[in-house]
Amino acid sequence: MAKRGQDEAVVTLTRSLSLMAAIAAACGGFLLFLQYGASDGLDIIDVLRSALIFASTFWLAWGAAQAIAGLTTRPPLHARTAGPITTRTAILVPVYNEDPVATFARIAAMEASLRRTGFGDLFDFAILSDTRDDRIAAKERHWFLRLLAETGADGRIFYRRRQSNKGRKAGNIEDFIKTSGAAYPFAIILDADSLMEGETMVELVRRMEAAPDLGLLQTLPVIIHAKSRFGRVMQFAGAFYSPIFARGLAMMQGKTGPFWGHNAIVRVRAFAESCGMPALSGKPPFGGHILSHDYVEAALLARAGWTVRVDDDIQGSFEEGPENIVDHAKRDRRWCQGNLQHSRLLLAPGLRLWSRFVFLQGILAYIAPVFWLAFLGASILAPLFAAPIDYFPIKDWPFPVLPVSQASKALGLAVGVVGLLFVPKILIVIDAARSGRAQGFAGKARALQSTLVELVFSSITAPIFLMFQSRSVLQVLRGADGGWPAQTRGDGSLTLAQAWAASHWMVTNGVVGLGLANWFAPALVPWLLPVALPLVLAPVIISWSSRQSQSRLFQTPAERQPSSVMKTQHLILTRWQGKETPVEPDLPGSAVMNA
Amino acid sequence: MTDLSDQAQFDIDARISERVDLLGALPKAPLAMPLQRLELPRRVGLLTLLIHLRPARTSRAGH
Repeated sequence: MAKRGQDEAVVTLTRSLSLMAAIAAACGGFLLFLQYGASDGLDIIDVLRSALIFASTFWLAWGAAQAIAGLTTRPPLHARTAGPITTRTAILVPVYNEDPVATFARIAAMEASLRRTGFGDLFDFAILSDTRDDRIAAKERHWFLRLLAETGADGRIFYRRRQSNKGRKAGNIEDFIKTSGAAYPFAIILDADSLMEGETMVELVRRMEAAPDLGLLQTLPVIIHAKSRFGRVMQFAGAFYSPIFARGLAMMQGKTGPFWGHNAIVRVRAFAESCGMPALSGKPPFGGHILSHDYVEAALLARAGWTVRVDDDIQGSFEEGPENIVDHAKRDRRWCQGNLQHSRLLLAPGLRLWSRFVFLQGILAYIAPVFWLAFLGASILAPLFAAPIDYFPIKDWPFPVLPVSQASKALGLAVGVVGLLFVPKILIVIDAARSGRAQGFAGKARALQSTLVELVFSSITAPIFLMFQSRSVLQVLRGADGGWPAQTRGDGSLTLAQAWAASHWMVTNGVVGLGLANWFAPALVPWLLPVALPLVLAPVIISWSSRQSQSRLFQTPAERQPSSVMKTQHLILTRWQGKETPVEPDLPGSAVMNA
Repeated sequence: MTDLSDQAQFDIDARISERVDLLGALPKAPLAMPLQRLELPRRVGLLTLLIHLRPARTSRAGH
């Protein structure tokens, strides 16, 4: 009991300190910019721009505070059962117009990995198809039979296709629970591109068995199998920075942790009792089915008194990511709509305060780029609203009074903003070098080089994401529903023409923005170049970054030393795709032995 | 002896579907999942009342 009270005190302290630090940084930014703006007379545009700086700086500082919270703490020891596990667990794999060969190869690899733990018989797989394309569905049925034939797991691997995909992914899971939920105390929810070590699944069950109040346990999935330049940078960033940010998040969230929709285990009874998801009144994008259902499910579990936790120390949990900026933006469009839809739930009855704050954070993540864009637009137009400078403000004084330049304040603000973006990442490199974690990233020097290049790359691509996200927000506010597009997986290289088709509007905006700045506020042009140039070059950047990466930078532990389940998946997939592959006799499991 | 007039036996897709239905069927163990309340019932606020205020109807009788 005393330990629980201590934990809650630490969570409250971390939240309070982080919030205060973020508000202090935002106030600093606000005051600096207000002084800068007031140097030639205060007007409404100056106040507006200062307010936008406040909101944007708060968001950046909040992220930095999360990293620092992660760096200054170590993962706590979580209770787990020892000895044999006894609980039956369903592994749910929802699919929606996915490539069945790749998806089912992952399942075969996980099945083999589970057998190696000795607890394979306690885990069943349920492939929950929401596929709308009949040709893909026919392939799914074909590959399901092959999966059964090769694994010999009849009665442990199930496949069902829904006639109607009501409720989308949340509805798909709900349908499983209503049909078979009582047969399984626990369910591991995966995505079609998820991969998990058998030992990791057993560990998840051990932790659930040891904590009866635990409703959901989220792992931190590591991105794998990235091939393109963009994909590998994201893979590196995910593996190198995310564990620290996730630890900070865990420190702040306490018992009200996150659910990211996959690579997590749930207590089925808790989930069934608490997470029946209603459609919201009204039409999409704000009404209808809840798109980002995972955040809401985490909030509902917490509302019902269950603990929701993210354990950043669990290894062996993987996913795949988009290979190019356009696919990333498409996925982001869906998340944007889902997060903005949460504005309807901010006042939902009975939610924990932190759950409401999580919704607000999700909304801010997409609104913040609009604030930056509005700030840039307001800065270009500011000279139109500025009063002419009065060089003789003192009556009867014959000499002119020149205004004092406040450019140093603007420079200080810019340095502060860049610092909030860069310093956490640099601190993470130092921590990785000190703790030995950098070894997994090809050593200290390579990890530092990778981080520096990642900083440059993310700075160049930031304006492109800013534009995509701002457009998404405007589309949602305009009432446009993004639907539920299937995710593009696999090789995502884009030609220059394809990149141009996706981003020519950015080029236009970049050129027009620079032209307007040159017309209204020429002094602003050098400040705008870091934002405008990447926009003008967006098609080149998008196409170039989608090409296959040959760099020795951005190596990750999973890339350098693929785990056992990754090797198994590779063997099975290459054989199923009809490619030559060597047999590794030390890997057991009938599917693997056939590889 | 194979009955060649029975075309159903050559419909491979249908036979695969049958087999998948047989082997892939999920265990029947239903669990209730009640819908949660996420939205507050709409309350009629003072402002809404004022906006929708109409002049009281009076009978024309007697005029």
